[in-house]
Amino acid sequence: MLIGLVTALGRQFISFLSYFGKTTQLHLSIWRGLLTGRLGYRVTVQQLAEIGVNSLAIAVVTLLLSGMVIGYHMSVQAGKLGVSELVGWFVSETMCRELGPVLVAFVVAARVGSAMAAELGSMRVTEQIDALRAMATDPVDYLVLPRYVACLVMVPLLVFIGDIVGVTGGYVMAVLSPSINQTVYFDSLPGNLEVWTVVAGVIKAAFFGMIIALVGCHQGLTCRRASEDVGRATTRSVVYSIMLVYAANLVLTTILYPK
Amino acid sequence: MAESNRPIIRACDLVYRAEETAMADGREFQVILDGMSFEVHRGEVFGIMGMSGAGKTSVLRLLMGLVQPTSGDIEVLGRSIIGLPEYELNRIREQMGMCFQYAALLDSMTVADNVAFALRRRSHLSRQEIERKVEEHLERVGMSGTGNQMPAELSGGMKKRVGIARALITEPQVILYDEPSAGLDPIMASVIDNLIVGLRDEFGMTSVVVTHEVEELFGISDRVMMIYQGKVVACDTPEALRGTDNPYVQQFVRGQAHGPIAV
Ligand SMILES: Nc1ncnc2c1ncn2[C@@H]1O[C@H](COP(=O)(O)OP(=O)(O)OP(=O)(O)O)[C@@H](O)[C@H]1O
Ligand SMILES: [Mg+2]
Repeated sequence: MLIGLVTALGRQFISFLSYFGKTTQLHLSIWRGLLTGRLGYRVTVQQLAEIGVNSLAIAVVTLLLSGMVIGYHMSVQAGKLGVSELVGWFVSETMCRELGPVLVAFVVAARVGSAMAAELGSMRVTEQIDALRAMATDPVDYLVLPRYVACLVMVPLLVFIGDIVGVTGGYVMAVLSPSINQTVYFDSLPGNLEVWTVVAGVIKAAFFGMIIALVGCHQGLTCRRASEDVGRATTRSVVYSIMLVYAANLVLTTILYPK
Repeated sequence: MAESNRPIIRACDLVYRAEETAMADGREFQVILDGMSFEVHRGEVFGIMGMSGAGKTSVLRLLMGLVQPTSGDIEVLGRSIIGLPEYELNRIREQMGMCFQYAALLDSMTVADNVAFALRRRSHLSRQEIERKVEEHLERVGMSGTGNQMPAELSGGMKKRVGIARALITEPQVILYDEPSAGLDPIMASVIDNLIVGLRDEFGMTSVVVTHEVEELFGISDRVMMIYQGKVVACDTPEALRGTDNPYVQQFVRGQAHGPIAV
């Protein structure tokens, strides 16, 4: 019984290490490609547009509603504590430090990362990846680099937009409570919210973008040659990237927001 | 002198096992090629025939460096391709072309973009120049005017011909055809056959043609190799193979259900 459990855990651990090794390898080839100038301009612009179109609306809605919920809670609690004039600041700290980066990462992982896994996976099944290689084109250069760069740029941008939308959402709920008037909410930001708080959140987002593109592309490029497995790779890409975003978030938070 | 006599492709004792099937049917792996040696000379049409599942496609994938053999050596254009990193392989692949059995067109771009793909990435031709070459190559395979269509709008045989145009456009030294005329009507099939022979006569292009259509293959090939159970059964000129008393070849060429090849 116990031995069985230990074996199972050991196997999980080893498969995690091997997964980590393989994605790291892909990550190295990506950077080798980027540093040797093999990023295609046109395909990158295409990917940037695609990510923007796919995720902007849903990211905005997500952050707006979350901001409203946080704004509601904060104004009630702050009212009890008698610090209603600080609600705007509280909401913006919450959004910029955690909710903005993490929620946008989830949205992008679900919309964009999964699409990458599905697209590359079906290209693999239909031998299009082999066709690229036969045409002397490295699939990592042609397919992965533009997606990686697009995520690296777009996720932070979406987070920045999301932060603003979220804080505005908080405002909408906060002004409904009697103790907060229309100017005090935003007046609490200057002098309290530090630039670094926002910047560090955006930096976290850049790392999340890397994780999403890396995991999505890796799942697509390595899925087995069956339509069924394309489906599995797609789901796996979402699960893995969300898990890795959680873990990275913990590490990055302690580094970027020292006590 | 030694340079021109040197075979353009040389395979030495190739063994290829598919590790992917491991444990699917109890066996550990399936032996697909089991010690295979052959040479392709510059400027010839080299035919490979064998039963369905004999490993013909696998041979082409090995020659292209898309998969690595379990053991053995492959030399292409005077260079061993075993264990080469992808970017080195790509330097050799630039001199080669491959037509996939199921065309493998990039389905998110138009026919014209597919055909132009390699030129756009590697040559410094102007846009008009590329457009002209694309149209010229589509015409060669009887597909002119289809440039703006998407691959999904084409029939299987049409896709295959676009795949041929795509492989030819860079004017490679060696071109590998995987069943170029399977699924084509007799007229189109003979257009493609003439194209293959024409490229050899006009430009000295080397072709490796895989098919199980014996008559077609004998019609265009300078030499034909037959593979069975992962080994080379015979490799000779079409005339010699017709007259051979090798029972495997005889059975295959005549298309008999009974003989040494068990079905
Ligand atoms: N990736 C793979 N994993 C496992 N087995 C494979 C793989 N690819 C091919 N095979 C096996 O290798 C053998 C040869 O396959 P291959 O595609 O080379 O045959 P072929 O001669 O091209 O057949 P056909 O004329 O039907 O196209 C088959 O028995 C097939 O089952
Ligand atoms: Mg085949």
